[in-house]
Amino acid sequence: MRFKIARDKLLAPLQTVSSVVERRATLPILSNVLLRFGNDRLTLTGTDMEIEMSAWTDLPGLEGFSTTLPAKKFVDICRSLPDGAEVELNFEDGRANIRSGRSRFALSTLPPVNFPSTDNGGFDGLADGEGDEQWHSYQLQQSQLKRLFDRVAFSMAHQDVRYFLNGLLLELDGDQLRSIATDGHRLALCRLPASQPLGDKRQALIPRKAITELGRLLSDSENPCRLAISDNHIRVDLDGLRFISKLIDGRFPDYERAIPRSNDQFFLAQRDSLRQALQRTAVLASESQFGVRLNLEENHLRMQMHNADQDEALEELEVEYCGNPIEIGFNISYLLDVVNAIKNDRLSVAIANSNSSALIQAEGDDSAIYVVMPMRL
Amino acid sequence: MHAPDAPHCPVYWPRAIILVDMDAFFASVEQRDFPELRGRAVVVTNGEAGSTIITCSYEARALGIKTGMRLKEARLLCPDLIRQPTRPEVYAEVSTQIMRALANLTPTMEVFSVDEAFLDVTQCQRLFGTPARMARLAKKLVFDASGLHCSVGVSGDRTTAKYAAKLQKPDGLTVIPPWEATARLAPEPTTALCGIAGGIGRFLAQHGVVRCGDMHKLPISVLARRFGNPGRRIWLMCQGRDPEPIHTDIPGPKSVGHGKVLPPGTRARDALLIYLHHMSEKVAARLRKHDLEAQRYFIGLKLELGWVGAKLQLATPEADGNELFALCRFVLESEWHGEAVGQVQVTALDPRPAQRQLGLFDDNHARHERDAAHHAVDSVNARFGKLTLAPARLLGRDDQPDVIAPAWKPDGLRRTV
Repeated sequence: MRFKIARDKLLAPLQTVSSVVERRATLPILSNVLLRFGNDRLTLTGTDMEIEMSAWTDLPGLEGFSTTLPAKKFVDICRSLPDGAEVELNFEDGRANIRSGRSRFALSTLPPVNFPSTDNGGFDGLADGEGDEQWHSYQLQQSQLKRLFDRVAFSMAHQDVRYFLNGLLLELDGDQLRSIATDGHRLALCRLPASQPLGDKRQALIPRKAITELGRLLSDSENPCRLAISDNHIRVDLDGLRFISKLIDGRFPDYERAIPRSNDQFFLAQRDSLRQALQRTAVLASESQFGVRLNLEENHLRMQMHNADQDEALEELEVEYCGNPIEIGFNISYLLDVVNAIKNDRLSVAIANSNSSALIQAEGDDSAIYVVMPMRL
Repeated sequence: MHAPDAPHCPVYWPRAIILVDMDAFFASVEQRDFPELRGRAVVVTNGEAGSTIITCSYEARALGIKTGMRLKEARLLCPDLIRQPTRPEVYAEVSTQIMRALANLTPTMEVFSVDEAFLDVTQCQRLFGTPARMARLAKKLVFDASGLHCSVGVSGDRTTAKYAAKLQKPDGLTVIPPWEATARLAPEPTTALCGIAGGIGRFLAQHGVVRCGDMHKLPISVLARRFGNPGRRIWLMCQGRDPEPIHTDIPGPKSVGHGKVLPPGTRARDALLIYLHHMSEKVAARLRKHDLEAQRYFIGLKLELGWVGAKLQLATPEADGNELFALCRFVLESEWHGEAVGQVQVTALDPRPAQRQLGLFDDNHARHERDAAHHAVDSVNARFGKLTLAPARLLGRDDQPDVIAPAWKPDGLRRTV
């Protein structure tokens, strides 16, 4: 089995899929990338047993063949070849001989039968929904999916004992797509009207790592992407790329209950001035001290913070507020995350009292809402 | 650093550091408490079985007996040597009294070890007078609090103060004004200073620095390249300019735990539950006392063949005896099969400052009520004694002393040596 391919044509998909390959994998085969020839293309696949990514490039006129190569070495070799170089690969006797110009490498391969791939990539002639799994798929723009993830991803928990919080809940419900993330202290929810009817409510709890990877893959373009959900997996098809992740098998908390409905004290603030004040105040925050005290009076917000070294910060800014004076404390990084996620000029914060959650959103826009629990001061 | 024109006039030192070092601390406490030991060669060993000398009285030192010597060797030097077993609780108590007394001089105090403390009295010169006067005051405070003598060194930095304290012992007082520090240290070998051990000493000797006075010939960058900031400090230290401040903050604990040695052959389930509940309550109360909470715990049972137990994690950080006891029950169910238990241990592995963050999915009202209950229980127990208010199961507890912890600081979380 011998073929030639332009280095640049090979490198892009190879780099994409090798990003999921773990440096130190438990099984040797997981350090490898799977190469499959056939259907007039070369398909490369990398996996960490949770996330599987396949990318392909056109390569007509080859018989069906597959093998696996050490991902990191293969990437490093291809990357260090000059632009526009031509790479010749030749597989024989369990070795891959790579030649380009006057460079030659021989890498050892591992048999592809042991490669733990969930996706047959159309190689056994199966189409969607014909395997063991029941897939439900939807067409949308990349930017839409990206928005759903980006707006809420920062609220995911990180290595929480409540493993079901270490991910993002994607909900498809009638005419709406929703993404929800929470770490138990704050919650973010983003809604998107669906362009096609979505049918009965479906939920997919996507692991944190998958969200991070997808965040890199998705662009802000109107290019189409195809989202498919089964009971155990989520699949995203982009141009020349297929991404599959296992779902978290767990019960996401009842997030509806955590969204306050009766907060009747509102203040409206300029996003930029609020963000800058928070950023300055956060200079004093540390690993153990991150509580900021907010004092609201008529059209006036005072922000105070102090730390163990007795340093103090005080910020005052004009806001629109006509409720009762109120004092409430928050983890300043939670507020900053929210203010950074909101892109509009003005935002509104709805509060009930100093012991219950605040609801933050862009003014007059409830497509993305944020709930933050206060700290006791 | 300038020499004052008239040294007899009061001159404010730019920095004034006092080191108080107890004289043969453990041995002196023994001689204080047992008059028959006074004037005799006394050595302190770890219990009746200890074979190494932890410390010895000045009478013993006069005969050439030193800390770290084997008891056998010491007896060769002094056949009628008296051996006293350690009484760690007493030393801890005396040390606490001494440190509390010294705190009357200045709050800027660092408890360096059980029998040493640094005091930064720079800011007290207007209040109490010259550093030398304050040093005499410190000696008096120590003596009034404990009836024991100490040696005191006074200078403008830690290292010189520590060096000074060693010059006259016992019951000494040595003052090295900061402007004399460089000259006084100059003839001393570098390794005579606290913090310069063999390795650094060899490095310095290779670079031609044997005495502190040689240091100024060596560029500071040589030390900085080899040892980083500690190297820069050594360069300054040798010239009587140690910049290290007095550390008043005590770093947070790495773990908080309680253990108990059980009567031999304890294998009754109810008894084990009582011990475990008791330890859980103690750990939780101590976490709360210091405004800490923890998520990961070790719960261990010492069986004949060694420890069994588990490291377990709660869903959220807590400082609650009942949550902790639930983990103990779990360990007892899963790891214990009726064997005799020699010791139980409950340890919080990741104590951290208690958070006041409220949870979205928690029952914040219940939590608030529980915190209020803890507060009430802790207040009652603070006034009327530990575990005056306690879970009913603890009525059956026995009040053996706790297992003694290996490290100790008077203001830290450990209350025993």
